[in-house]
Amino acid sequence: MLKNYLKIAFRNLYKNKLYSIINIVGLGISIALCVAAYVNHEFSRSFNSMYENRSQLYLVNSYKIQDNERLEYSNIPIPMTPAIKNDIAGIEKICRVTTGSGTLRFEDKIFNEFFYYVDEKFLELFPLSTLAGASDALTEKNNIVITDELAKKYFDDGEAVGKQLIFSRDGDKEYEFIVGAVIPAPPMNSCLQMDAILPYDRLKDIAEFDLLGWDMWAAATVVQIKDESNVRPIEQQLQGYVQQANEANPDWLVNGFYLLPLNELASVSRELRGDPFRPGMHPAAIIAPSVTAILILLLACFNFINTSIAFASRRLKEIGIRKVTGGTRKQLIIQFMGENLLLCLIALLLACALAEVFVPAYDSLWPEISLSMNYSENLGIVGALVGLLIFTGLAAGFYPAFYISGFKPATILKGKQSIGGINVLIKVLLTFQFSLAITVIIAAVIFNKNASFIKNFDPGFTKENILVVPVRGEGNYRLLKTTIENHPDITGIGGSRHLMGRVWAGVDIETEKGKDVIWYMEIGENYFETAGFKLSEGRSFDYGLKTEINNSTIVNETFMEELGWTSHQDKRIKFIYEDSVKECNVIGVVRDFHINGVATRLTPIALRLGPEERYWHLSLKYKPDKLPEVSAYIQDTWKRLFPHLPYDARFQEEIMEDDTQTNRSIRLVFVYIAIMAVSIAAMGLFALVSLNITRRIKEIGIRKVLGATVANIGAIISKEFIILFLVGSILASVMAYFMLDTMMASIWAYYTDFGIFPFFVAAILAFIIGSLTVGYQVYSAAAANPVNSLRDE
Amino acid sequence: MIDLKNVSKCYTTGKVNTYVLQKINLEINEGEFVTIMGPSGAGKSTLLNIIGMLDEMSEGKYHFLGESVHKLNERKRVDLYKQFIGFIFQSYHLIDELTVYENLDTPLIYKKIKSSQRKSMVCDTLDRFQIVGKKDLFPNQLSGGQQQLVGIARAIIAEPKLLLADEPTGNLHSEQGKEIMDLLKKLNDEGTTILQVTHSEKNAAYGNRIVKLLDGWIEN
Repeated sequence: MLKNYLKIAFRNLYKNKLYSIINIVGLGISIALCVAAYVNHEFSRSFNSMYENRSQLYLVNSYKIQDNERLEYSNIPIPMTPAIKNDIAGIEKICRVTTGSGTLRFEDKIFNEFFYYVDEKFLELFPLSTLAGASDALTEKNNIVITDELAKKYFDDGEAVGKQLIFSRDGDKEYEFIVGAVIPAPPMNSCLQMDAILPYDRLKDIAEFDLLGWDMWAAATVVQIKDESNVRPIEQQLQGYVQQANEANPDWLVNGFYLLPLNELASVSRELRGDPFRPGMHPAAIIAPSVTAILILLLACFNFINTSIAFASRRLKEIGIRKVTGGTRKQLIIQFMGENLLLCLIALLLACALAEVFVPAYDSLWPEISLSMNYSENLGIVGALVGLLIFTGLAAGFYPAFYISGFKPATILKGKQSIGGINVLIKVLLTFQFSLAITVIIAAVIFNKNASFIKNFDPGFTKENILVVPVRGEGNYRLLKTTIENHPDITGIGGSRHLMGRVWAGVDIETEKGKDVIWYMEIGENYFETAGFKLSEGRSFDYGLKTEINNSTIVNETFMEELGWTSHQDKRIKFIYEDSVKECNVIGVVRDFHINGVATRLTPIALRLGPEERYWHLSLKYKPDKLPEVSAYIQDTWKRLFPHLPYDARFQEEIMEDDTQTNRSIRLVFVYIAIMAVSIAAMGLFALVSLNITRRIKEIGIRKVLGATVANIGAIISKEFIILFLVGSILASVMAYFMLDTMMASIWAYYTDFGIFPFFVAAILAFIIGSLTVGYQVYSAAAANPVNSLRDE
Repeated sequence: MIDLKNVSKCYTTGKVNTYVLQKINLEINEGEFVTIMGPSGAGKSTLLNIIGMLDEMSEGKYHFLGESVHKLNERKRVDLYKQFIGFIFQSYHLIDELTVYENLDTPLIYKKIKSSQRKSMVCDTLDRFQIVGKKDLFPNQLSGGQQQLVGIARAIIAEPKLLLADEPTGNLHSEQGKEIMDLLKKLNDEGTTILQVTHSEKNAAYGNRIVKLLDGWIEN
């Protein structure tokens, strides 16, 4: 019996090559997309899964209530850790983490790296199997633990343990460290993101931290609690430190401490402040691919349902005879479902091959994820594939199997069974298909439009032709500036602590209107001009005047608006810093500029002048066509002046690039998805139209004999489809509008106006593709000689 | 064997009932060779389909081998005709995707006969109809007469008690038609009850009784 079914299934697939190929390719592509989405989803689910004791790990966090809002911080006072270790029972291990930047040097190799300062239990809390060296390396104060990537970068032979690395935090003081251990670099789905690890106590001499001061805060504190029932009591006991912490920090009052399970970090890391960990994936990045993949899979299933139903007309006789010779409905359903599963199985094999391409391609679009396909290591994928196979087989094959097997044999064999043209289900599915395909085209067009919007977005300052050189370290700014300022291709040099698109800070202020928190930028000499800020009122900073640093500030137009100021004259702002209060005169108003490009809304900003020793960046403007010369010149000069500092210059434009990158990736995804969705829908349409024509061949013949022209007949065949297409276009426009608006608003503060154009373009494009797909078939059916179709009666 | 009492069949279109068969009373005994004749639209095929349980009657009673067909549900009816009835069609109705061998095998499969037994039954039948050489051909590789031969072979392979033939020679030329009719006669002589629908007087002569239908009534 099985053999008989299989045989006829294969013969059917082979005999109807076109329909088989259309369905296999369509299902194959969409199942491969589902696999990619699944791998993506698994990646997000596997966050921190490499740490076996993760369910016992907690972050000790603090929170404060501000304006009825609970703000959570991963920071607690540094000396709280030894206190907890002393006072509280039930904690297995505890470890502080504080982050820091700096350089490492080995012989002539020098790079910027990102450091974690941690207590010695760190490697036990996050067991990253030590590749080389001792796992207790951090107990030795002069030891450094580095990742295997660093080992390869600094040491040609990759042998790092026992070798000396020179660490410097600011380019001035240098510290010698011995590599105590090499650990594997934390993967992308780990919350850890450091390049190297230093012993916590070294903060004392390196960063001049007072490790006993309750006004010093650790970036994060991790504890291991084996017995879950201890968690609540420990949390209770933690509240005992609130008073001590608040007494030491009168301007930073916490309301309490709490324990955050590490397993929940990924989902809250976007709200948690101050933590040194890699955030979990953006929810949109998890949901969007899954939804898209399932929609595309539905498209392909619809094709399958549609073609199978339409196709049933060709198999009527077989069905009738099978019933007459004693086949029951159940047997027929089994037969058809079996055929569907067979087809899906072939599609699945194709999908496996395609997934090998899709997964790495998707992976390469997003720097923050790393996906891989590994069947043997990840049995989940195999399970998901089998699940997909059964789902697709059932979803696509269920209806046709029941529909077809329900016909009455007497009616079929009398030749009176009709499939009833395109039935209602087919119409609904086809409309849905059209609208999905058009929706993704609209998305692709709009993201394309947004790319040029971002490119042409005027941020209110100059970002072109500006090179930014980080110059931390005393005197480095002045030395570099005086060395290069006379170069003929350099037209301006400015110094600053903060930078557009990268570094800014919040500050508490007080005016006659009350207290507020705003962003502020600390800039330096000539930065206002180099950055191309425009004054709308008052004057710019006078860099020669010593008093400007403590007494003057410039605010932006949004600031004026929010405070309801009409003029800057006689206005004063009190800036409240951690260690000092500065009362400044507002000397001018700068025209609004978008400090983060399109990513964030305009917000009140104040500019203040900082002293030269606090400069972090030197921004230089060069003649547009002189980039290679200037770039090489600066690099050479840097190497000559600071042989022990890494050269890390970037273009201002590049710093603002994140927006462009995100848009580029999303656009690319949509372009590919659009191509796939449209091809699948087009294949489905093709199959349906050709079946429709086959079914109506006699009618067409008769109409022609009666005098219909080719155009008449073309119209008769196309009419149904055109109506469905129009309904689909309208649905798609509505769907796309809301979907894209929500999506873009969640990524950017400013994005392109959709306008009406993309919707028309998408509909027209889809229409042209559709017409090309079916045009030839319709024409040849309409133009055929009716004698041929009527003769074989 | 077959006992029809007051069987009618009507189609309802709107409020109008159109009767295709009216108050048919018909008895057929085992071993008979009955011919149903009548002009187009007289209801011949409908009667045949009702007797073959492919179609349901609107009114009346139908007893087949003592079973009350009109009281059976679809599944029981399928079981009944699967066991006792074979069909032959004017346009053969072979499955185009299957070879001659596989076409003969299909009804046996549906009867859940074991593979080894099926094999010998199919081989016997191929042999008996002298079409062993054609067993791997597909229906469209055969002439009309040969296709009908396969159709008959398929109908009788499971040894039905009743053979229903709807214009079995309608698509064949006379030489081939005669061969098919001789075959049916032979089957009848061997004990199979046969009920055929035909227009041809010549074919009717093969049977031992003629039932004439006119506008849904049996003519007496």
